[in-house]
Amino acid sequence: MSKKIYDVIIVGGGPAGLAAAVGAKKAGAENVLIVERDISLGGILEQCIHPGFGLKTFGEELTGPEYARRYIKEVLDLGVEYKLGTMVLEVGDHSVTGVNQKDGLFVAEGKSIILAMGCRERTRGAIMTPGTRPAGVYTAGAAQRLINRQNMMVGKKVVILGSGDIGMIMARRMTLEGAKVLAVAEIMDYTAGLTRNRVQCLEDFGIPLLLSHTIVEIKGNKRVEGVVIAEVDPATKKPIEGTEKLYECDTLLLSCGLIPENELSKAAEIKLNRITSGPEVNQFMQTNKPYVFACGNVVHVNDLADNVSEESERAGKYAALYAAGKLTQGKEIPTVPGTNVRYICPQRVCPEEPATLFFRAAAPQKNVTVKVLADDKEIFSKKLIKINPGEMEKVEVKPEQIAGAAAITINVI
Amino acid sequence: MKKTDIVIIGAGAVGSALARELSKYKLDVTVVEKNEDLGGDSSKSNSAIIHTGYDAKPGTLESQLVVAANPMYDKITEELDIPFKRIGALLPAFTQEQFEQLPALKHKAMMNRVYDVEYRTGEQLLKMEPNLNPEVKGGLYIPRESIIDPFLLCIGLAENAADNGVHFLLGTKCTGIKVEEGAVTTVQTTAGDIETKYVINAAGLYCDEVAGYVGKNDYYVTPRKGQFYILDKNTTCKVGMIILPIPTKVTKGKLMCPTMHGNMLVGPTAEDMLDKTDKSTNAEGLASIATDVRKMIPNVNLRDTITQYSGLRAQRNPEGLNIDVYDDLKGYVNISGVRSTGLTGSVAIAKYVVDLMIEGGMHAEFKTDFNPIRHGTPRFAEMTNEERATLIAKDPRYGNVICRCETVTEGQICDAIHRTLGARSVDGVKRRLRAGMGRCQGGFCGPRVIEILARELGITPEEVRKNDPGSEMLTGKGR
Amino acid sequence: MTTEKKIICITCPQGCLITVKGDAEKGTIESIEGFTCKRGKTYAENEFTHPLRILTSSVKAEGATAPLVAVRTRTAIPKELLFKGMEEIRKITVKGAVNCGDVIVANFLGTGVDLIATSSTEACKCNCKGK
Repeated sequence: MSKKIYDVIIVGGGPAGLAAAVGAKKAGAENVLIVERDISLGGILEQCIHPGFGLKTFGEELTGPEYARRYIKEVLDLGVEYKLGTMVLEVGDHSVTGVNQKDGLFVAEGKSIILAMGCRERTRGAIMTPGTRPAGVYTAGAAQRLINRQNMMVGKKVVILGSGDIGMIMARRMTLEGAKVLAVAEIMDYTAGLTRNRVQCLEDFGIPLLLSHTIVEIKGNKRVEGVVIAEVDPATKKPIEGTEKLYECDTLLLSCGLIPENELSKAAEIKLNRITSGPEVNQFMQTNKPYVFACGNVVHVNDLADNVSEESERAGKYAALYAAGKLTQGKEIPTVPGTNVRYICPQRVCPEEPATLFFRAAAPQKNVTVKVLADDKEIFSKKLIKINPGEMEKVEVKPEQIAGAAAITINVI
Repeated sequence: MKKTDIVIIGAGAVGSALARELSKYKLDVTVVEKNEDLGGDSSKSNSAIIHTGYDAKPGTLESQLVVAANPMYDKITEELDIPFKRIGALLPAFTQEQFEQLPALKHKAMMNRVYDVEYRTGEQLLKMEPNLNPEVKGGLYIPRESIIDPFLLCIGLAENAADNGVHFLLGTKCTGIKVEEGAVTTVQTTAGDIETKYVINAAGLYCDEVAGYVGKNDYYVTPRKGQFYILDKNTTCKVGMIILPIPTKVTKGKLMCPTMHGNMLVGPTAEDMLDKTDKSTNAEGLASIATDVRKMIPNVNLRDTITQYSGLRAQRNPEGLNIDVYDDLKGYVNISGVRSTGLTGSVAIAKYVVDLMIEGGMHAEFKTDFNPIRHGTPRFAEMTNEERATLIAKDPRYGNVICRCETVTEGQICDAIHRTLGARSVDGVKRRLRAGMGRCQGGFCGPRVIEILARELGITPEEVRKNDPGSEMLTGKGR
Repeated sequence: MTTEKKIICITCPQGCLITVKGDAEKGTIESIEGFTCKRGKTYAENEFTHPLRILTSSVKAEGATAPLVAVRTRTAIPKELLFKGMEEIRKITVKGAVNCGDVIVANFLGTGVDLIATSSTEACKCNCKGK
């Protein structure tokens, strides 16, 4: 269709895509296009009507839609183009193939492309919960969409599997909507999501949090009639025989983790990281293909939209610089997750520029020291009262600290 | 009271095939199906394989019918626009004991008149399927074993039957059959009585119950559960052919094969049960699949599973496929013992039964205006970009992708809802289009499909069901 | 009666553990330890004497491009009013276009805090009377 060549094409108009567009425009990109599959910009923020957004970015505590609107306003003011109701079918060679009702099938060409597709949720099928397949089993995000955007109530008596943030938020939401939330079962022995959500969403409403528990059976032929919850062995995570308890309910919500939605990336032969399931990037958010950048949850699952925005503005900036031929790159240094570190993002660092290294602990620990090493030399350390896999941490490294190193390692001890 | 010439009880593969076959004649045919959608029970939860019959019990009716059915599928699937592919099967032997069974199995294939089964050496098998356990000693190659979309088989047969005049009463259960002076007269259902000359019992799992209405239940049916895994299309270890284990008396065994749409299917178990409504999966069964299939395909990665399901085979006691007509009961045809090869045998069973009925005196005038062709809903995912553009230009709803994982559009969903015997539930949409069968298992498309169903069916979202009444997706309106 | 309460602060994701000692009924605080910022101290003080929460929900929309408008109390209101707030919210219908930030109900439940819209909708151009 249009033979216009964009400077930056962004796949996804959620928090990551919006911030990337802003970053790209601020860095001088003239033609920026967002391609969004939903009927409005904002992405997942549109259904996150709870507060917890914007504390870092705006110094205010905002709800998801409000946070989205700050960026949407800037996107519109800056003259970013966008297509709604448009699904990207393929990320090709400096191009994006999309489809919508108005344009039909089209190919948009761009000097750089930013992947900002976000995540999908882990399903009942993926965790293999045995039992029947009745109506009333939803992932927490799907239930959130139904309730918050489609004005549809999913259940009256609810059990939630997984203490991820979305699950806890939905526990509160459903309770306020008049449903009875019987329990949240979590297979690990710690809360998967933010502590503040455990307090605000579960403790506030007296909803029991059953750590080291999981659901071993779903019952009900047509609609959920109950779930069987059992205790698990903290070491093996296997259900302990004899601890099974039937909870009668009509709804099961699953909050068992998010999976970066990288089908387009895989098809485009973008190198993905085994642990994050997202593209491997440098601090410019650049993937193994120099014209393809990535940001937000599609790279690694974030806890705070504010971090997504910061990272994405950066991606937008560097994608714009790349499009203008102004991005210089040297030999990159790999980052190495060390002791009690599950992963580090970015996976590579260009030593000519400073970098913020985001990382997650593999297991909860108290009174730790975070040590950053360039090869064997310690270049930075800080103490933390506690560290949780559910709460992402970061450290900064400067060019002079890492110049000449073969690897940058982060250890949590 | 409704009047018809023939009542078919059950709209699974057999009932649907019968409906289509009978719709070629100037007969008034009515299908009664207790579920709210087509596909019966076993016909919608199986391994989706069209068998050759190479391993049937020689000399039996089952052998005769399956072997006759297999070659029919090329034409039928083309006419009815049903996804079907002859990918072939391998039967590998990994132990000396298994290897020594091969000659007998090959001979059995010959006895079943499946002549094109051939030996292959271990080396040859590994070339055909590199993911086989390298200890494979040799095996059989069965070229005409095929895969099919089992949902669209039933749906395609039934839609075509309906387009050619067959009446379908879905969500309608047969509750009795009246016999007067040695002949069937009426079928009683939850939607009222139907006066009829013929009754064909194609009730599968419940055929013993139906036979009991006319006192012909000299057998009983128990459910034999089969659990399956479906693996992600991107799973690390894929096979290109149907990999079959050496069969036992009880079951064909646990296999691994591709599905028509690129997933891997692994299973099934064979667990004898009592409860015909128990379609639950369980950890033990699923674990046993892992153990058994790893012997054949050591690197099968079951962690890539996107879902598991269980189907119930109709196990006849005493065993064996039987198609019976009775001198002392005019108009009644009993079909029982359809198991394991039911999907395959359906189209041959239909032909056989019609022939039997005509030989028994049924007056059946052949139609000259029977239309054998069914065009399915366009499969957007399989189209080229040019084809897609043309489709969207005709109907913009094909430009609105609803199911991200399987690339299914709003246009397709609307078509599937409004066509003959269209989808009226979330599962109905799922089985016709695959929306909801992808790796996100309806997480993205689910809320949108509920909205579209409500809009297109003119019902409230709270009335939208997953399948049968009682499976409502929502419990109420928010505000 | 002096009581001690251990409170996990929720004003930011750090979740500091703050210990407050005092008389909750009388609303007097004797000691407060463990906070790392002013907002945390204020939160813990309120949490001890009179817990406050932001209520977020949605109200029915008519004649608009979406069936709901997301709302929240501009600032936190007494925790014990949450369910009463929900009752009031269920009675509200907003018509036509709504902008993020619009006051839906001023002085919600007499708390002095407004109930504001957090999402925006446009007026529905067809005659469907909304969804």
